Amino acid sequence: MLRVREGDETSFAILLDRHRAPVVHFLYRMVRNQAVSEELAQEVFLRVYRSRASYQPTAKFTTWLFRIATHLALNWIRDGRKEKNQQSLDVVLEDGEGSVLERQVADGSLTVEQEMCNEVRMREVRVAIEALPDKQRAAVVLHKYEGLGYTQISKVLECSESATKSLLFRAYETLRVRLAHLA
Amino acid sequence: MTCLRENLKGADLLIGYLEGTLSAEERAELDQHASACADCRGLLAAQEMLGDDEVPEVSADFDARLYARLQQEQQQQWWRRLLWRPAVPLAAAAALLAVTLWVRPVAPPQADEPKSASVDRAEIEQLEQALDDVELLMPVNKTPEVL
Repeated sequence: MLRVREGDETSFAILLDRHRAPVVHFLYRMVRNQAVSEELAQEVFLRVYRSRASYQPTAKFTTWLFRIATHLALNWIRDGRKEKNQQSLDVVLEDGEGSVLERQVADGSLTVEQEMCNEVRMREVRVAIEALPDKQRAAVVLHKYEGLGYTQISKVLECSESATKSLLFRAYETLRVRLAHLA
Repeated sequence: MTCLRENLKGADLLIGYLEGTLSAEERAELDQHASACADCRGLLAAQEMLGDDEVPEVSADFDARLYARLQQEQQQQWWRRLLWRPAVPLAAAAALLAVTLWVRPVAPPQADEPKSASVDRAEIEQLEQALDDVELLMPVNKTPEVL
């Protein structure tokens, strides 16, 4: 990022290549809509580019990046745009994630029944995560799927480390109760 | 050990367990408690239970769309910078003023006689008209004292 700040366009391309997928995937897990997640990810990288001149390496670059992404995702959710754009789970399964299902079935390593069970299970997990309060959802997605530790999550969410631990604890406890039947 | 939900350090222990930062002793103690407590066992396994949520691949044209937006934004900024320079609006105003003055029609000369003479004659005519008006307002059988 420091090289980007100096005007090195190649470094921006490297940065984009390195962080594109994690940012889009994080946003997808937050908003559950591919088009919206990519739109928000574009905004993340636009903001990074716009802020390059004033960038100060006070925190890890990924912390800053996920902070922007989290703000955008939470704002999008709060703005209620979710209701307008989100498709029903059935439609998602047919249109978007149906391809994932087809890919998994096609590889032949698991039976169709097993794959169907996995898909139903994952749907329940997604619904349970989606039902969490916004900040808890962001914390769990960052912790579980993006592999961030609680220290970094606290910086992304701009709250104390103890508050972050408490946030994660409450989220995992809620998920445990909601998904008890899957255990 | 008490249940994580009732333990003041429950959040520390859970996150330490999940992130692998507990001491071997703390971990063993927690494992031992969980083997006899379904709720704590479920809590320790909650993260694992979420599984590997598959996500769609990023669209192939993601970068192209981003660079197009960046380019568009840079062009807009170039125009904005140009328009916001203080010298540009001032120069534009000066040019506009110069053009206005240049194209404004010049009034043709009024008459052959000198201006001061025409003004004097107009004043005399106005005075005569005023006197006539005063005379008309007087009663017919009364001579005005003033006159």
